[in-house]
Amino acid sequence: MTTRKAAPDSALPPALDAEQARKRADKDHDLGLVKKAQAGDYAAFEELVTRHSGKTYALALGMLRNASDAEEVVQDTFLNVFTHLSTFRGDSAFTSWLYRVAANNALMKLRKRRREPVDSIETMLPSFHEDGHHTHMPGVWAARSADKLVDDKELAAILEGALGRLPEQYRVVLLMRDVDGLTNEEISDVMGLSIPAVKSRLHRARLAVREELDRKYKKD
Amino acid sequence: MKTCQDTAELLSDYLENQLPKEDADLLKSHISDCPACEAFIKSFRVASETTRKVLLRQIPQDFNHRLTSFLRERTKQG
Ligand SMILES: [Zn+2]
Repeated sequence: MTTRKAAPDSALPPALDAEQARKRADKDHDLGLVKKAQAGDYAAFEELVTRHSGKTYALALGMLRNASDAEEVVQDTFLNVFTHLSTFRGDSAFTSWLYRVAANNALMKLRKRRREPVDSIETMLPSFHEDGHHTHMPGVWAARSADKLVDDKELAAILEGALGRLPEQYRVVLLMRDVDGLTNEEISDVMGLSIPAVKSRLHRARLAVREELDRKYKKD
Repeated sequence: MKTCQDTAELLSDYLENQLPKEDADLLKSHISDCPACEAFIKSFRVASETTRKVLLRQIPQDFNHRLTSFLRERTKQG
């Protein structure tokens, strides 16, 4: 059975061919650099670091919400990558391997900390009237652009607090998708989760973060 | 017939064109008559875009430089 996909007017831009071609080229470039690095070319390793250090840091920071812990995780991650370079076969993307190592390092660091209070995801999800209607309109923040909102310190703090309250298995999926730009398929590969599990965690995490902003951001 | 709750539940799939056409059409017709859903969708998208921007802007300017220096030292290069 084939299912036709609809393209809603309000849809995100579909994965464009150009975008897919760019991703493909990036992956191939990474694999070329890995091969050179495996042959002892340190400059190639360093180029891999430079290409991916920023997004690896953003993932670690989102997980840990502490700059020096995040920096340590990134350092450890690239040292791990360097040490185990010869074991990388190139069956999947270099970034899948990189983000897997980074996510594991971040999760390990989280577990060494005193347990932080984490909410059950259910308490962070929106509620509806019995007939399934929304109970209220979103606050005024929702009418602003992300570029405006990102400059608002109060909002940024609420957002980071929301990430911190997300159970970590939701947090990591949200960050990989919405910050690092991995596809659901890539995340499923990196985290060893089924695609439906990735989609469900991602969607609930997005709903929860939106809900937190709406509950806590009161400024007009 | 789709409700606001259905719309919220299916939103990621809807926005990423992952729904069967029948479901997407039903949602689309609900949303076009429902200002609360329209605003909810906008807020859902802006929240996820802001998450990305808030984190990416916190990458320190000299981060990559510090990192590559650290790695050179630890891997005994350069
Ligand atoms: Zn509605």
